[in-house]
Amino acid sequence: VNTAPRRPPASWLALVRALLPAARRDEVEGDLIEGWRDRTDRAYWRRAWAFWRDAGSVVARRNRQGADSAERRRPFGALVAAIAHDVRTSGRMLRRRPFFALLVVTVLAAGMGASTAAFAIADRVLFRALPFHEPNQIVALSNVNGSEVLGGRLERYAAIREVSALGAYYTGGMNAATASYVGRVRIAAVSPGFFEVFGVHPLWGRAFSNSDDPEGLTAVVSFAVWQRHFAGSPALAGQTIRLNSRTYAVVGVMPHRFQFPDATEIWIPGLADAQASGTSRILPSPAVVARLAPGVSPLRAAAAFTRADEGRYTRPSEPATATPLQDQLTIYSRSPVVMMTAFVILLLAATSASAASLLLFRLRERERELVVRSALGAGRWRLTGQLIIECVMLTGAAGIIGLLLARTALGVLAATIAQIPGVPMVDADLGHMDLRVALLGAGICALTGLFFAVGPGLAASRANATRVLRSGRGSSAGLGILARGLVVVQMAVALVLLTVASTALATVVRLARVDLGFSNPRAVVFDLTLPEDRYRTRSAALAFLERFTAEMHSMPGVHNVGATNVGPIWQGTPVVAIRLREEYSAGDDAPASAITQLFATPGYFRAMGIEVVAGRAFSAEDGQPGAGPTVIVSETVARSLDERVAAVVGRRVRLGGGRGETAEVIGVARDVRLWRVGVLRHGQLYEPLTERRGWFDGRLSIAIDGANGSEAAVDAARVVLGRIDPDLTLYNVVTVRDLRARYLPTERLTLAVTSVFSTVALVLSAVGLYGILGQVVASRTREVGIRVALGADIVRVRRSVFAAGLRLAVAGIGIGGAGTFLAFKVAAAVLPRQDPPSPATFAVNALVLLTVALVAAWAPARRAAAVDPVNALRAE
Amino acid sequence: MKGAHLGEFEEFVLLAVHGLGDEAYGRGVQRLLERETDRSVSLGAVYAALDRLEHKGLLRSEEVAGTPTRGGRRRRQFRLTAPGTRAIDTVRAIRERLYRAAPVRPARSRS
Repeated sequence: VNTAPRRPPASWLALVRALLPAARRDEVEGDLIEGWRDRTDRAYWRRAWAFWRDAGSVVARRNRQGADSAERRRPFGALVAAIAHDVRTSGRMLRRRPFFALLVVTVLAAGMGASTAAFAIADRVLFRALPFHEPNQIVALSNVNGSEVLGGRLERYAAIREVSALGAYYTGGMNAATASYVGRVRIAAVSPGFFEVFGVHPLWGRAFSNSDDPEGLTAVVSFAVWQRHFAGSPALAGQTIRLNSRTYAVVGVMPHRFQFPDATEIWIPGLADAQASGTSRILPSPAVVARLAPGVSPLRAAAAFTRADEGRYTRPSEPATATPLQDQLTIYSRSPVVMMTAFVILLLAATSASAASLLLFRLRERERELVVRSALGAGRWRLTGQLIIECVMLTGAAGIIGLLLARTALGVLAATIAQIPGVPMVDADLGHMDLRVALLGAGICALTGLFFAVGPGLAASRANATRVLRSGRGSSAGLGILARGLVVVQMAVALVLLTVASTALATVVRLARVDLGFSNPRAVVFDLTLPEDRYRTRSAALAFLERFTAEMHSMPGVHNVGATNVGPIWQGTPVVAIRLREEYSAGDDAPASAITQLFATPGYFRAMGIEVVAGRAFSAEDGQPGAGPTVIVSETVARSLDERVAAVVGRRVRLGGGRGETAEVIGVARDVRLWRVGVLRHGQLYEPLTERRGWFDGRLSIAIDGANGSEAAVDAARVVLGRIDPDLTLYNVVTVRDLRARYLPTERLTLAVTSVFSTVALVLSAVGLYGILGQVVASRTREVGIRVALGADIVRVRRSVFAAGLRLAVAGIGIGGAGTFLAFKVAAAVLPRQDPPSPATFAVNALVLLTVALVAAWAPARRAAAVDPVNALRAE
Repeated sequence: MKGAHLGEFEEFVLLAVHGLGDEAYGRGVQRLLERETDRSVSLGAVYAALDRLEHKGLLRSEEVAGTPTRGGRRRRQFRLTAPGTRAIDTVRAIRERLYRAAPVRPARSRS
């Protein structure tokens, strides 16, 4: 079915009508409508093109003729005619020099694309209000500990006058199952006041209320989940979802804009499921948000909280503070984004400078034409206007391309960020260009165009006929200084960005070489949660593990299967600080160290490729009743006991204080970087999982070493799980090969962003230098001609142009050096883990910039050397 | 000179008006030329040629009520004047004489 509109948009027709004399409006409009209808089988853009070609040709012709007395009387007729004429002339000019036009458009498009993308991110992070009702009144509370939640502190706060609503939430994941879906969902366990804080009402059904049984199994789902798994009908009655193997009644559906916090899919009340937040034994500190009463500032609220706490027996150790939620959410991304924005403003200036210098260069060549036209009676404004129109055309073309580039860049960036855990507050629809970003791009485009047209325009308006015709030299020398200054600035910007990018690269390369402690590239790791409801006892979990391991081994291609409670990288790692003492050590004054206490099944070390450097791994006998307690420690732990790591094997250690039982160290394994690649947080201590020992909260991280690739291994695991418990779902699947990449989220992001920007800056500075030097050469044609005629050395002529280019480059490198120093000073305050640039890195980058400068200077220098003295002088 | 001379495009437009009869107006002419010459013809160029031909007295035009296909907008319908008909005859005669004079091989018959 052809749904193409049968008429061109009314606004287009209105525009065309406005530009036509009244007598011809009907006729032209009718013909345009007919033309549109004739072309309904073509693509929309082809129809639009034909429409505007026809309309433009008619309007241009009307105004060109201008002889008709009726047309003369039209307001702006002469102006429109002049502009139309200039547009045509500019078009011809640009077509005559396609390389020049292409260069300018490329430069502008690259600059505008990069800055639109950057500003879109900045807008999202810094300026855009959160999508909630009166978002400025929402604050995040800090210094509220988990134990105090039970102490009634939140109720106390909720009751005070300055607060109109208060809510607390925990975040986590749960196994979800509906009739058609089994998988993992992001959940938030929220207190009754939570939704009230955000002023959000369910689209259908209801939110939680105080009258809900705190243990009641009710859930509110997000609009996306509702559409995907419940067919999106507003009939809520009887709809249920199974979460961690318990059935929850779905009581409400949230509107689709509401996904707080962190793209939550399902909200459950309070502490309905302790496993959801990942810690069933310890009550973690919730995140607390509040809506302040109208006119109450965060400071006043904080003071009110302190007053409410005064004189209470269970007075909190620290006063609660309130921060605007927006600030709280963007706390980590704010500074880098501000820095990036600063860079981008410089980049944009450099872009305009490049384009302006190219245009000035071009103006040199056209100076005589302009002067002759001015001598023949063309007004100053006419000439300036012509140039400005040329700029507008170039900028317009570049703006469209730049916007498309920005869109692509944002899409790629959003996709990259989506894969990086822990980069906050950049949501998935960053990749969608909305009107705001498009307007932003248009604004940038207009500003750039203005900036870049003013210089050449002024130069043209000042063209002095007599002087130019007599001496062949123009009067734009003064503007040359401005342009030169800008080229120096853009060189400096390029150097700063290059140094930042290569430092980020060095960091990534260095960290990518770090030994993570596990090395089996075939292994695939995934998480699994055994719901407490079904696996209430430890023996049930043990039975599950035993059966799962045995069945996995029977699957084709599976070599090793192992399990632990905390796999690599995933946050929420329950790092337990324990004292590890040798059996006969002096007592509590022995050095205490924080150790990650894990359990491991016998196959785990081999599946992950964790080398056991001394002693042995667990066997099936370890942990069986009757066998003594055994542990495996990692090298760091072993070293804290004895300098010779191997000597630790066979000793007995005591965990924790007091007179707890001792365990025999049977092996020493490599340290595993569980959390971050840059730092080894803690050593590890492994125990076998038994009835009595091993820290276990239902979460498992399973590693499978399969010969047929990771997908086959995961498929096998799904088959086995389906046989044992169809409610179970595996999640966070990642191959060991990919794990390494996930360890470096910020570093990789920095690298990606800075390398794009620095490449753009480098290209821009090269183009800018080329433009400036070309200008220099063009203005010195006569001088060079005379020098060559008098027998000057060609090589020296060429060298002098090179020298002019080098001077600019060296000045740029000097300023860039200072800029780099400053930038890293700032960066060190913002990102403490950022490596400072090494002098070698800086030197290499300076060299790169110098090389690029020389390449850019080469063509103008050659042109200078090729000046034919006869032609140069005859041109006078 | 100007009064007598017909450019190639003007000649095409004149012939199109002749052939189109009641359908000889801006878009009609443009449509025919686009189809027959297989090149892109802008509406402005068609108007320009029509106006010039009218100015030379080879065409005359009148406003006619529009059809629904053009949103009910009026259209300017062109007709050949007597000098216009004569101009076509003249051009054809010139061309035929020139073709006869030129030692052109007969065009291959198309199958």
